[in-house]
Amino acid sequence: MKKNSVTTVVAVGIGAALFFVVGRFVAIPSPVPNTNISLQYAVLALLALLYGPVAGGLVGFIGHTLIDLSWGGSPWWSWIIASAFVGVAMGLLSKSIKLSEGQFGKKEMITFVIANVVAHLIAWAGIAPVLDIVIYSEPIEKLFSQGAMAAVANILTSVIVGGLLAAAYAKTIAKKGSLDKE
Amino acid sequence: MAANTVLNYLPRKSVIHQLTGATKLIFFLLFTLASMITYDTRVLLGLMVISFAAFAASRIRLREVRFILVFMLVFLLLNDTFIFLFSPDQGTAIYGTRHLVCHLFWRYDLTLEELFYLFNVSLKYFVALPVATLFISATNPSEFAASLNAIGVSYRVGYSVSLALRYIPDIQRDYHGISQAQQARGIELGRKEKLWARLKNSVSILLPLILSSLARIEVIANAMELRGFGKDPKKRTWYTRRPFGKNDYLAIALGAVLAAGSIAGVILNGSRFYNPFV
Amino acid sequence: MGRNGAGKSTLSKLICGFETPGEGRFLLDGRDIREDTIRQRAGRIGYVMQNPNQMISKTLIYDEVALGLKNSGLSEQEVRKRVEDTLTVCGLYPFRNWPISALSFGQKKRVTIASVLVMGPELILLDEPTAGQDFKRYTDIMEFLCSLNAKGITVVMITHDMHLMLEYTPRALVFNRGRLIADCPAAQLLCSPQLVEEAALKETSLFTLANRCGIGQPAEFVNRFIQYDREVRSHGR
Repeated sequence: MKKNSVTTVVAVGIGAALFFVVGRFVAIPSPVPNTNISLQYAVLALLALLYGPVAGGLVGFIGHTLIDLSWGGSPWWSWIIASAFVGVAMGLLSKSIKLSEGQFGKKEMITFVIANVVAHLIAWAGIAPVLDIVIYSEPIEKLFSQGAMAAVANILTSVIVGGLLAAAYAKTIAKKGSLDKE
Repeated sequence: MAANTVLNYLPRKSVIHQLTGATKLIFFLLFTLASMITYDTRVLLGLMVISFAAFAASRIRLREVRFILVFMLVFLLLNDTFIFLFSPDQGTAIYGTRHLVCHLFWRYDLTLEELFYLFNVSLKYFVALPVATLFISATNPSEFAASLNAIGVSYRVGYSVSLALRYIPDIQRDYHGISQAQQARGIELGRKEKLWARLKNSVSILLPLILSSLARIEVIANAMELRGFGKDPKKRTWYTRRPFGKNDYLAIALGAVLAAGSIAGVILNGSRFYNPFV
Repeated sequence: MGRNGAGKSTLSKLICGFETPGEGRFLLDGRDIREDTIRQRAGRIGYVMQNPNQMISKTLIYDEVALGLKNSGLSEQEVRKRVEDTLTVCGLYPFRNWPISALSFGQKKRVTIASVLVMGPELILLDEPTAGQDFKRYTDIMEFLCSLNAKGITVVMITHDMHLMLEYTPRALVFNRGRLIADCPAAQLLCSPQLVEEAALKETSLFTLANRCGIGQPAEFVNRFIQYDREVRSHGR
């Protein structure tokens, strides 16, 4: 993947659009009635792995802000910052997991899972509630429970769906010299 | 531009619409700051008056944003309920006194302090709502990116934002096409499948969506590079950038005054909260 | 056929069940299929989208083509047989273990057709099958579709390309503004300048040439040229 600043600008733009569409329109009904599972963090994980921490952070920030704006309300800055953090954290992995070259074996998968768990825990059970307390002064117990639920949900989607996506993507990169007609 | 429907831009002839995108963005940020800092009921009510006045000046009727308002109200009620369920005595913790209204059940008592606290929480969210709705409905999305640049955000980020707005409808269309093609082959995401199957099936839809988006990135990046995008690291001129007028300076000044006033109020008061119980 | 916005794609979507009709009936072999689900219809009407990338969700060709049969209750061997047969018909058997990303656009197109064909439809509906392709690819795909047709599958194409229509199809359905304005043999369409204009079609250059040269029966001229050209191409290859 040719990496230069123009590609990054475009990757952020299209990535944010993708984050938006997935976050806003693609929803899987969850076992809890009247709620849906959203999949945008799975997509964010993949994009961050391919394009790095700066792109990842911006995709999370811009994408989440656009989603909030499209619901007609004020952007929820504390959670937006948490999303951006996840993007940056996953993007840092791009140095060690070369997904664009098709590298996604057992070792990479384990790293991927651990990184996701850590990143989401920090973001939703750490950053988001702390900022919420600072800004909105809501009760701590409510904020941390809310955060914990979000952390669990997002970890599950980003690890399961994100992992499957990353593995599937890696398979689409054909290795040199491996193809024969049979 | 189809992004208009995504972000609900409603063009009108009004004072608010005439302001530049940069002005609206700055005012929106300052106003949000003002409403986030204070928990003083009097200040919040004052901000709300200004908020509604701005909305009236925009000639956008309540009916057009009715759906959003209802949605927000539902959200606020749910939020209040959750806060109450977790901390029924948060009000007392903040205001220091306890006036019992009635006893509900188990450990849940309804106190005046708690009601007042919940009222303030709702007010805080609600105050910023007309201004936020206004910002979206009265700003042309094409100007959006230029406005970001005006407040000092790097033009590359601004351009990414405008690319995102431009391509959201296309990606949406891709998604619908892909999801329908998959449905024709028996891949469903709805209730009929088990949860695990739903998660696995979502990959069938997300993977082609991502692949086609990645292809887009390459094509667009090449096109932009061919046209010399980014050669100047610092500056970029914008087609939709408008010069500031008298009203713009006034609006920004108003925003600054509100933000400063809110901060001053907190400092003078010694706390973010206004306590009527003492 | 018809101009942009005439309703061709919408009609396809209605037929396949992606959109719901307000009123009216869809008769397939005399039976109204309006109550059928998308999946049920897909078993009889195969829809091939213009952009193959939108249809492809698996990495390997075999998996992609087998996808539609996964939930159909057939045994592993049955599925394998059907997939391999379909791949052979589509000329993709030697590539069956390849990843799709290694294919050219034309080959991907054939994969999407195969993935639809494997479900055993009686009719396949293709949206602009030859858009953006050079003449050789275009001919390859069209000859392939002809061979499918020879096996008894009805082929319906949405296209702007009048030459394509003249060369390969006996029957043309012309739409304008959401209405069907003609259902006639392709050559006949040429003879009505009024129809050509209403449907915003462009008169083929052969027709214009015939008129300019004062050739008595322009439609016949066009037909004969097309026949001649086909023979040259099939022998010249």
